[in-house]
Order: sequence, then structure tokens, then C-alpha cells
Amino acid sequence: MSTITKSNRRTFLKLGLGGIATGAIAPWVWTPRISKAALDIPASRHNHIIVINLDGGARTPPMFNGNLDTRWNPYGTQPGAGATEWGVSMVFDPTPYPDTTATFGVAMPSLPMISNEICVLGTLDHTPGAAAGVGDHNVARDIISSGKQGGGPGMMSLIYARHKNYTEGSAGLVFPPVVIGAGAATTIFGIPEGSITPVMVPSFSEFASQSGDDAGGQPTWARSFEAGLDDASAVIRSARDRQLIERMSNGKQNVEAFRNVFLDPALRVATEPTAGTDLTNGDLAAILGTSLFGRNMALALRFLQHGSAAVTVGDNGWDTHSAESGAYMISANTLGRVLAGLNFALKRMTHPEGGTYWDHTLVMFQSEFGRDNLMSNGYNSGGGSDHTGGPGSRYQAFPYMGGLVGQGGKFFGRTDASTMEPMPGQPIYGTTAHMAMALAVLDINTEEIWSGIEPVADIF
Amino acid sequence: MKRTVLCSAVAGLMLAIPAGCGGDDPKPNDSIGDDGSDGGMDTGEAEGTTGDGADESSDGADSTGDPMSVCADMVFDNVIDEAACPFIQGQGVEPPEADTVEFCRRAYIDLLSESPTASEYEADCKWSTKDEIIDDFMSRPEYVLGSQRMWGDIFHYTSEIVHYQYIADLDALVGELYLGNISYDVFAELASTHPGFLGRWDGLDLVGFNFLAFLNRDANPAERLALEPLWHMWQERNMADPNQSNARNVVLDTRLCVAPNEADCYTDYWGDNTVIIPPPVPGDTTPNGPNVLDQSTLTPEQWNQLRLPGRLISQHATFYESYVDRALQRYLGYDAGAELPTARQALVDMLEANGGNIRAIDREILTSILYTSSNRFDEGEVENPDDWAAPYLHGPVKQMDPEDWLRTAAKLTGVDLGSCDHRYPDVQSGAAGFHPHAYPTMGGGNAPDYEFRNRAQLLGGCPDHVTLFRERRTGLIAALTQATLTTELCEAADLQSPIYPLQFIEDPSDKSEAALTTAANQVYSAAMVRPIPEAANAALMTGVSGCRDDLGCTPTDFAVETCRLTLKAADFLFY
Repeated sequence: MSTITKSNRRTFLKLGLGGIATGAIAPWVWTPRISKAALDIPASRHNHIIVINLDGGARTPPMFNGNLDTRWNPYGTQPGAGATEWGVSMVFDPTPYPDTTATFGVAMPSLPMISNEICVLGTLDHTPGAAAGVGDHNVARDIISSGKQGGGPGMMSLIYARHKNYTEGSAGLVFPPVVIGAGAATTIFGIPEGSITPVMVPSFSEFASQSGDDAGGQPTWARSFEAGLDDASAVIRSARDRQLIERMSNGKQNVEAFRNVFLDPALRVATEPTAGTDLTNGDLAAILGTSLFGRNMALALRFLQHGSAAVTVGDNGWDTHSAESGAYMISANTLGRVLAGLNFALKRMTHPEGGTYWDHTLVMFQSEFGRDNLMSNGYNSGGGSDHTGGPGSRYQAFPYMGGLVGQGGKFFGRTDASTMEPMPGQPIYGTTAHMAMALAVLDINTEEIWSGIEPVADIF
Repeated sequence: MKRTVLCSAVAGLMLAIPAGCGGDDPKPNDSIGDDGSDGGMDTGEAEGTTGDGADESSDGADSTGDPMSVCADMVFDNVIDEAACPFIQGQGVEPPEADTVEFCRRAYIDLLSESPTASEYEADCKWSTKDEIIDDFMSRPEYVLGSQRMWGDIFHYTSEIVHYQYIADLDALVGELYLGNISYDVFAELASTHPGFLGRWDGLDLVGFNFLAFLNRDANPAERLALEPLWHMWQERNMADPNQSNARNVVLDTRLCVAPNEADCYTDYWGDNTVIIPPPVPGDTTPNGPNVLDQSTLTPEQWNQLRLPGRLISQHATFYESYVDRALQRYLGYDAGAELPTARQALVDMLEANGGNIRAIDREILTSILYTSSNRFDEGEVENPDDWAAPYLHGPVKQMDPEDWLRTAAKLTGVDLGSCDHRYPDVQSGAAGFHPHAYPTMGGGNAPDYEFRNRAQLLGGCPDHVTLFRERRTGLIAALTQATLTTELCEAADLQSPIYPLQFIEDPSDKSEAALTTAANQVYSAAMVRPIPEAANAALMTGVSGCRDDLGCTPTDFAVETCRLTLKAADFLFY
């Protein structure tokens, strides 16, 4: 295990993480502007976030804002649990999952059965106040990854550069933030900030191949030799090119720093079924399923256990311009199982600061946009859906889950059932404010990143 | 004239305010003064040079400080050099030329998709001028293949979705472009409605991906909606192939634009344009009947009308500019079109004058000062990126493509991993077996061996074009992957491998300082064509003494570890 203590900050910085200490050693003192919203957010450096990125632009209203007419939700709704306010889609299978019965003595509740533990915001908008929404992949990707039009360092890099566990060290485990997934709208969450880049994992299976049997083992003298070569190469380059080399050098040093993590059999989620703390990989397979998304999420949970403050897990297949309904049913139910699985698993994972990971984790979504260009039957002429920036694609409906969420079952940001426009008096939530909320949960001051943006606090 | 943006067209007259054209300030080093001192730039020859790049640095600054007059006194045989002069020599900067080794590696990797061995350097570069090297490499099939790979990424080839024969045909068309047999305009006209493209995308995406391919940007929602009628009649139908059970043929559904739906095939976005092929059997509405035409049955006259969208795109103001920008990015590794809009415009003008000959554009870039300069540049510590020197003040630094890195590493260690086929990330099959492909085969049949592909994908190469796209990854996982792959490759190196240290053949137990130092230099030289730089001598001695002090380290271990660290070193990975 990689444990780095506060008293050993110099050692910490030597572990290839020197670049991220900028915030800690900057020759000025940041005086945070604490907003009312921020005061309402349960911020702690011991919290975690799991960002689920639905790659390609997912049609979220039919899943989480289902009380719409057929044009916007051709799947219908079903009763949720308890006093759930948001429209629970009929697309989700309501049946509990029997796979967990053998180990846990109970069938894992389905998503509709835990809907009252999920808060939904129905009017997530990239460009609040603008005349039109965003319908372009690249424009949307800039915003969802960096929180800025025009783009910038990705969300996971922003966290890596500022989270106190990384800038100051921690008494616990401090594995970097991780991006899992290879989709074009997912890898952008790891766009570097200077030489700082999070751990980028294409998938659970590729990660196993990438680690090999020895996780990059190298004699000390060889490491020193290589580092010296790299330093000599960097010093004769321009500042711009030097940054490229330093990014690579940081990666190499972190291979050694976190080698024990990579050698942990629990990270081989598909091939080591008995490995794992609290929950074995076999348990996680029963809980999250064995889809690519489920396996990747299992790996994400392992990284959380090794000290990652944040993970982004991408799920592909949502850019359904044609023949949508079949693919959508599969994607939605894979997603539904992962959400239900997270609810089930996090409550059974002991957190080093006390309680469970459920108590310390916020599960949230991100996606480029929703879908529109729909006819009255709910689809475009090709049986799919597009994204033009109209209200159907503009206003996304995102669920929030975890012990930090105090408004389970609630629904904020209602939209008109026939037009998808926000109802009068209903709040509209900026994508950047939603991202600021996530960083605020991790006790990161967001004012220096997104000046003037109030983090969303309604879900707490 | 395909003028692009106003400031681009007139940038040569706007030297005082170049940043307004989208590029960074062409900042020379702050310490470059009127006296023409190099301001800390390394203007000397690189270590171990062969003498080709003798120090030619001289202050180009005119005593008056007027960039235009400096350049007016110079003679140019390259339009980029001329256009960039006011921002380089005109600012008192004379970038040193890359020596032959540095330039050979750069051109070898860029044009032949792998790094040279020492013997390849001797044969292909050592005795040639830079122009001769470029001309030689551009005449080889590898240059065409590398270009086809790039366009495979742009067109998102995959026979999981598209009929493999369509892809093969579109790929061959790219080959014709880079062989110089067709112009870029003709290429765009044919590719925009090629079945290899039509089969890949539907509806609004046909507009979007045409824009991405030929205008270097996505179409905005309004453009997508407005221009979709140009592609409105194209569809696909399941048509199993003996070698591809999931094959779909591209068809033209002429029923879609008959009255009263003519407007579905009309757009006034780029002028009044209609793309309608009348149904051969008016009134017949059978779903797969006579009015649904397979693309292979269309007449030349029909194709002429159907290819209208490609012609319209090729007439767009930024059509040539987008090629130029892509080529500059490909060879220089930065957005030189935005950094130096005058150079971009010079290439656009050249492309227009030569009738869309993109080979000439590639050659102009590859023989320009931006490409032939050394990438050594001692800038010192500059914290604020806004203060960094402009990238065109020195030669390019790029990270090797994962496939090129893996192919070279395998070559050096003598391991045959094969290669991947950029056309078919995942070969499909039918009743008669797998469709044709270029992967190594296994099992005595035509089954593809994905050994190389699977490894390359771990680093972002051999993308499947559906969920994986080409990347040059850095960071922890990339380093971990390289560590894992080099372990495998270097342990497999044998006496015949170019990277194997020869003196160990004579005495495998010699652990003297001299033997280890020689071995390290041989390993490094096999990969880098020259010995370990003097500046890294301390690092070398750390390694040598470390192994000598380590009782468990044998000379063979030392060679293997040196092989690993060399193949992962910045010197090797960045070129």
C-alpha cells in the first residue's frame, strides 16, 4: 500500500508529484470567498466522487425525468420507491437482482426500488441564460470536461492539482484521480493541467495487461539511470516541450510509487474473484454485473479503496442517431444495474475515516447533452435521436446518489411535459455549477477555477 | 482565391499584431536584444553530430530592427520560410539546423512510421542532404501507408459497420491522393459520397463527419440540418457477404424525394442545390424494390449529381486551409496554422496554384525551416505558459505514435509482432471465412493474429474507431504499459537483435566498468543511432556503478535493463 504522511511531504513531492504542489507552495495566500451555497455542501477531503460519463450524449430525461409526453419519453414511467418525486422510467427493469442472494442473503434492489435515495436535477444546462443550448460534440466536451467553454484542464486534473490529499499529503492512501474509459468524451476528463495528469485507464481488462506480472518493476540503479537520461533530455528543450517530457517522467516515477497498488490482485477484477477488501471481486461481479461498464466500475471502487479522491467512469453507446430503442434499453439497464450496484456495494465497504464509502461518496453524472429532433413517436425519422441544442438536448436530467445526498427522491428543475422547456419559476442548473459542487464536496475551493460560479447545493 | 480569414490573408502586412490572428505572440526570447544575441538559445551543434548541421547561427536581426528589411535581404526557396521569416529571423532568431541524426530520426518516423536502426541510418540518411532524404522517403510506400492510416482515423474505418470492400476502395483512393495521381479536390468530391463513408454514418452525422474530414471542424446544428438534404437519399441494406455476414450495402432510396417530399433533398444553405435521382419505376414504393438502387448500379451521370456535396465542400473557403492545418499539425506537432497564419496562407496559395497537389504541400513543410531546425532550445525556467517561446523558433518535438514506437521496439529487439491493419480494426467473417486483411495469420487459415494490435491498443494505437481513437498517452498508465511491454521485448532480445550488446558475446561475465559502459552505449546507439549524450554521463555512471555494486546484477541483466530504459527514455519516445 502507498501511504504518505503529512510529515513526509518532501518524500511525497519526490514521488513524481512535484508539479502538483504548485498550489501548496505558491507565494501567495488564497483567501476563499465562501458562498452560502458552499456552506450548505458537506465538504471534506475524505469524501470521494464517482462521475459516470455517458459518452456521446445520453438521453437522460426519459430515464430520470420521465413525466413527459411520448415525444420526450417514449418508454413511459413506473412507480418509484416511497415518495419519489422524479419520474422513474419504465425502461428500468423493476425486478431485484438475484445474483447477490447466495452471498448476501438478499436480492439486490433494482433502481426503481431505491429511487427515493436518488435526487434528480432536471434542468442541467451548459449555457444557462444563453439563447440556445449546445448541440455540438466538441463544444459540449469542452464544457463537461473542464467546466469552461473553449475547454481547459480536465475535471480529474483539476482535482489532482488542488485536492489537499495530493498537495499536502495524507495520513491515508493517496492514489491519484482516475479516468476509466476510452471514449472520446471520457478521456478528456484527464486533459492535463501542466504536467499534472490523472491515471488514465482504458478498461479493466486493458489495465490488467498494462500492469503485466511485475507492474513495471525496475532495479533502483536502472531507475536512476533512466531518470538521469530523461532529465538530460528535458533540460535542452523549450519550456513547452519540457512539459511533455516532465509529464512522462512524472508517470514513470508514479509507476514506482504506486507499484504496490498495481500488484494488488484485487485490481484484477475479472480474474481474481476471491481478492478484495470488504467485497471480493466475485461479490462485485454479482453486484455490478459483468458488463464492461460493471467491470470498469468495480475497478473504480478498488481505486477508491486505494485512496483516489475521484474517479470518472465512461460508458459508451449513447450517441444513438438511429435505431435507438433496442440499444437504449440495453444501455439504460446496464446503467441501472451499476447505479443499484453502487448503492448496494458502497454501503458494504468500510471507509478508513469511519462509516462506509456510501457515507463519504457522491455519485453523479456527466454527458455531452440530451437528445432532440424528435417526432411525436419519440424518435427521429431514423428511429433515433439527434442533438441540435433545442430543449430536449439542452436540459439534461442527472441523478445524484450517496450518503452525502440529503434530498433523496426529490426532483428539482421541472420541465414542461410537451415542450421540455423549464417550468416557470423552476431553477436551471449550470453544468459548471454542478461540477463546482463536486469539487466543493472534496473540499476544493472552486472560486479560483470558476470565478463567480456558485456550486449547486440543492441536493444536500 | 480560397482566402480563409481576413487576418490570415493579410497577415504578412500585420507583423505588429500577429496575435490577433489566433496564434500566440511570436515572442522571441525576452533576452534577445537589438544586438542580436541569442538570448540563451542553444545555437551550437548537438552532441555527437556528424557535422551536417554545422553551426550556422548568426544574428539575423537587422540593425534597424525592422523584420521586413531583414527578410527582404534573404533569398528563399520555400514559401514557409519566406512567410515565417519576419517572425523568426526578423526577430533576430536563427534556429540551428538539426544535425543529420536528429533529422533522420524525425523524417524516418514521420514518413516511414518507425525509428531507424544504425544500419538504416547509414544506408538512408548519412550521406544524403535533407531534401534528398525527404524525396527518398516520400517516394516509398510507407509514406503512402502512413497517410492512409491517418485518413483511416479520420474516416473511422471499421468493417464492424461498413462493408470491407468499400473500406478497401476508399483506402485505395487515399493512396491515389498521396501517390499524386488525383488532386485533393477530386479526392474530396469522391470521398464525400464514397460508400466507405456513406456506410459509416447516417443522417446528420454524414454532414458532421464530412465537415470534420474536410473542413477540420464539426458542422454546427444549423449546418447539419441545412445540408443533410445533400445526402438524404443514401441508406444501407443488409446484404451478407461470403466473408462478412454483417455486411450492408449502400443504396440510394429514390423514393425518399418524390413528390411531395422534394424539399427533403433541397438546400439553399450553400446556394440553391438539389440532389434528386428520379425513381426508375415511378409509383413503386416497395421497400427493397426497383426504386432502391445499389450504389454499384448507378450511372456516371447519376454519380455526377450525387457527388455534388463533395464539390461544394471542396469550394468552401476553408477547404485548403483545413488540409494545410492538418499537415502542419502532422509534421510539426503544434497548430502552426494558427501560430503562423502567414505560413498557412502561403501554403493555401500554393495548393491553389498547383491544383490541389498535396504532396507538394507535404514536401514544402518537410523541407522548411520549421521542420529542419534542431529541437534543442535552452529556454531556462519559465513558469508562465504565456511567456513561453513560440514553438516555431526551434524544430518540432513530438511523441512517437504508439504503433511506431511498438514497431520500432520490436524491430530493435528482434521480436516479430506483426502489425495492425488500419482499415479493419476487427476483421469480420462470413460463411467463407474472414475477409481479406493485412494482419499476420494464425492457425493455417486466414484468421488474424492480433498480437501487435492488442499491445498497441494498450498505448492508444491501432484504434477500433468506435470506442477507441488514436492517442499518444502519457502519464502513469502509459509508463506502466511501456514498462510491461519493454520487459517482454527486451528479455526476448537475442544475439541477432540489433539492440543486443556485442561485447557480451565475447565475455558474458565481464562486469567491468568499461564493459558495462560500452554495453550501455551500444544499446543506446542501436536505438538512437548515437551514443549516450555527454550530459547524461552522470546518469550512465550511476547505472554502471549501481549494477556493479548489486551482486544480483549480471551483465546480461544490465543489458536487458538498459534496453528497457532506453526504449522508454524521453530521447527515444520524443523526437
